[in-house]
Amino acid sequence: MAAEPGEARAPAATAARNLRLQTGFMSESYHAAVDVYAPRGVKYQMVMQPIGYTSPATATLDAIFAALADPTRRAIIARLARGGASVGELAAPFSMSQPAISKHLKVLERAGLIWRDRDAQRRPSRLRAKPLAEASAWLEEYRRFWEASFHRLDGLLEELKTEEKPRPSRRKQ
Amino acid sequence: MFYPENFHVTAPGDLEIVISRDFDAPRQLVFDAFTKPELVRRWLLGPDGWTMPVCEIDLKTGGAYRYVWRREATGEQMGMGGVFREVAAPERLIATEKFDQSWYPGEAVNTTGFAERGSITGVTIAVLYESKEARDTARRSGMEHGMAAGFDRLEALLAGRP
Repeated sequence: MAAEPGEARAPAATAARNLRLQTGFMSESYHAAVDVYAPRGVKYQMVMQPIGYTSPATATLDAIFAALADPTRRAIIARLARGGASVGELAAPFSMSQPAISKHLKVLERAGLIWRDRDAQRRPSRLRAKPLAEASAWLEEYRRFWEASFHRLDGLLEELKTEEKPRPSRRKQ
Repeated sequence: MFYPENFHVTAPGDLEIVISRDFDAPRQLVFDAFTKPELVRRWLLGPDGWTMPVCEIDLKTGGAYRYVWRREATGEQMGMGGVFREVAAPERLIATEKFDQSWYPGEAVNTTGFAERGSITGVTIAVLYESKEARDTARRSGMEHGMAAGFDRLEALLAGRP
């Protein structure tokens, strides 16, 4: 995985940039966490698991979703998708103290969503692409199964409506 | 043509997945499409290429249902089933569900709600895992069940590689 620290550094920035480019398919009320990282138009080649028990790659998804449940932390992720940023740079737009931001960063770091570049002087925080991708892929597969099915159901319902039969018989309990 | 805007898949809690979608049809019709085998097998198929050779639904509290999907290209089959805990037509269904490849312990519980809003029917499907262990096991084995290839592609994409 190119975006891990200790491996290639430059691809991490590329990954973050690409993440940002690929976001944005959801509506307002769509889970805000997804809105930050869900890839658009990604073609997965997976074994289909109807209804969705395939999932996640790691047991850390709990931590990831918990971390993303907070709006400030989602905003931080969104900011970091545009490139690494120091605590000071992150604190400014949020009108929060640096210690408060640091707390949020710790949560994100524990969830594996970001890493701190300890080599650079400003110690900028950077996104880790892989956990985001995994969390996203997990939801994405549910979405994919149901989206295809529901699209088919739309057609079926249209067909049933135009049949204009008397109301379907009441079902037995 | 009706293009539903609100199709949501969320993971609101530790144990739950929630899927919601609006349909431009009366509630009874949507409920039927979810509960009559001859209708269910026409749409609950996921991506193209799968059929549903087995679709049995005994729609009553305590009644069982069973689905088997088949991927026509490979002959691969996958089955799941469960028991209805509550059938409140046309508003709500509660059923257990478990896949044949029981790679997680216990069952999940699926609550499907049908809400009438004018001519629109809003469907909400909430799948609740029995335990965190069940869900985590499902997650771990999900990786082994074929997501690796997908991740490879995704990673390549994220890293900007062709």
